[in-house]
Amino acid sequence: MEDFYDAAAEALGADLATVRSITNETLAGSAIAAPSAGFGDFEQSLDFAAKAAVLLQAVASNHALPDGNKRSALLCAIAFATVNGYRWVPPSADEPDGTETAEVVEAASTRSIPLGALSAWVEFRLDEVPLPPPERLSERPPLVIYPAEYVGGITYADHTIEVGDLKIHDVHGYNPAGVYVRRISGKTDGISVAEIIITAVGDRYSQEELDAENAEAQHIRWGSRSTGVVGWLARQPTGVTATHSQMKSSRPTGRNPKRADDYVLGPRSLQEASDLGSHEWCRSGRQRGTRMTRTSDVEMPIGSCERNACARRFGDTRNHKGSTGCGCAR
Amino acid sequence: MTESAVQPETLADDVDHPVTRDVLIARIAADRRAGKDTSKDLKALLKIAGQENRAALDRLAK
Repeated sequence: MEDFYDAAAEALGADLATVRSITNETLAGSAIAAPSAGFGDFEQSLDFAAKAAVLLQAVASNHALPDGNKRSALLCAIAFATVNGYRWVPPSADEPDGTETAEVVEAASTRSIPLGALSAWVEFRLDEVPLPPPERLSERPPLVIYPAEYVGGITYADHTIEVGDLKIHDVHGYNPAGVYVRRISGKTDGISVAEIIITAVGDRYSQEELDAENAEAQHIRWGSRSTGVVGWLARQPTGVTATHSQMKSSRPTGRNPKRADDYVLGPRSLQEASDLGSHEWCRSGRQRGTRMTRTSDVEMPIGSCERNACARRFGDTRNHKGSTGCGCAR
Repeated sequence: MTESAVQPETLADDVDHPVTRDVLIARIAADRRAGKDTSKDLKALLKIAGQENRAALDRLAK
């Protein structure tokens, strides 16, 4: 809210006290909250440009101020970009009299420009400024990825697997014969991470396969996109119910004490989910494990996977279901 | 005086110095992430943005 007042004061050329006294706080608060609108874990605006566009439109059209709403909206969008590490680049068509920006903001205030078009325009205005790493980032210990450990074969009931006090819901396809647990611990973004990944496979891994999975896990980078460290945990697609867990208190293997605020990783957004091609899902044991949660009804025969890895894992094709099976065959 | 020690008031007059402005943006973003107060820097940056977009703002004011 303070940022809104600052932007409005700059736009109106007034002092803060005056701006505060003339602002309708309800309308201003509503406009400022607009970029973070969503439902549960799902955000309405997925990328940053869309959020900035929503803010611009909301501030311009909510009329929280008796005058200067469009000017305030423009400066709010610029401030919003700034605090998130973006430089606002005015369009070249603004020379010499600010025509383009003025027309776009005008259209945003009457909502006569589609939000998608406004987002696209805003996206062209944003230029990312490289940020220094968080203070504690350089001091953080590296993430430790422990070898996956065999827990056992667990049959499921009502499409739910229980591992310790953790429940993995919405499991379809087959009874996993092998359930494995992998732990990750360390820090990212200066926040402690303690994560357990559950991988359930149709057949139990041979020792050779398990060794290969563990070797592969060491080459996967884990963490959030914002730190430049990305991993599967940050990219769990929606529609695929957890085969890994972000557990707050459970200790399914009795080996991983942790606190509720100990983890930071998790699914990010629909956009990030869609960034993952299905082929990606075939590449490691964790991802193969997720296939059991796919629910479409196209059956895949053994051997149709180009990599021939999934069919080997799943073995029994009668219950191996997925829109593209393992995701490899197209 | 090092670049990071430049006061925001000075930066506000330094519109044509993108490197310095980027430092300011980076500092605001980093301070926000660290939960520090950024109001002074942000005001300076808004002043710069106001100058840079003066033509558009004037047009919108009509």
